[in-house]
Amino acid sequence: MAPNFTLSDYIRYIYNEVDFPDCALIQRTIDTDPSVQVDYSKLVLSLGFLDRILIDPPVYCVDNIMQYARTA
Amino acid sequence: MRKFVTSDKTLIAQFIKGNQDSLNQLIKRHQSKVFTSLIILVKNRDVAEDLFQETFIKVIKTLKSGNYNEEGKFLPWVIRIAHNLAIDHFRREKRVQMVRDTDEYSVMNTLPFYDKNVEDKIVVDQIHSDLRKLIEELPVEQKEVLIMRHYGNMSFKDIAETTEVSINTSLGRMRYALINLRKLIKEHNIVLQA
Repeated sequence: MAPNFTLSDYIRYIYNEVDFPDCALIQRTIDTDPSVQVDYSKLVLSLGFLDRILIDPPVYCVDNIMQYARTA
Repeated sequence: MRKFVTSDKTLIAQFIKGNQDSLNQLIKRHQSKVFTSLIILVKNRDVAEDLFQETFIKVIKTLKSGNYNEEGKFLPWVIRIAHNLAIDHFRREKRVQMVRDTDEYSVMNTLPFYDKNVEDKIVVDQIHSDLRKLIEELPVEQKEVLIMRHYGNMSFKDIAETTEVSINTSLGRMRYALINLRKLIKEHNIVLQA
């Protein structure tokens, strides 16, 4: 990662929690520093994987909830 | 053509007025994030199923009582309820740490139904299942922040308030969670593909 920004900064950046002008500076660092690009890509990949491991509950769980809602 | 998506806020309002299908849509929209969060937290599929139902029963009670005031932040609110129920579960069980591995919780329990002939899908499902189990092995406070930020869409400020720590601490936990996760992925030779 670039000397001026920490891993925490990049995490906050990914989740849109960085205000201007830091936001623009981080983006510029990612765009221009190849080593940051690599680390940033790994970070995005790791977080992206969290979306791919999602599983749904069994149908009967939702059916039970809907049944409760109808009688509540 | 752009697909129109009914907002959570609208679905909530419709459900409160008696539209059951709106509740069904809300559940379907968020079920995987809530259920996966619970599985990661409690490491037991049966318990996660129970807590998932308890979570939405609590949601229904609150919505019907007119006490819901988390406008625009439905999912973070639901994830907070699920998290609190998981904590209550552990208090009841008097367990300091998250549940140990049990025979009943096998990798196969987390695999969705699939066609046996589709080997690629089985491999992918296996990788996902393995990764899910690796996340389950992270320290509780790191799992909490990972779930709340990524699945619950809660800001680090909200997470800090919910878990009663500073923003820097919650950010630090997220940082360590990701560092540990990558370490575990490397140790277990799991191949991440974009």
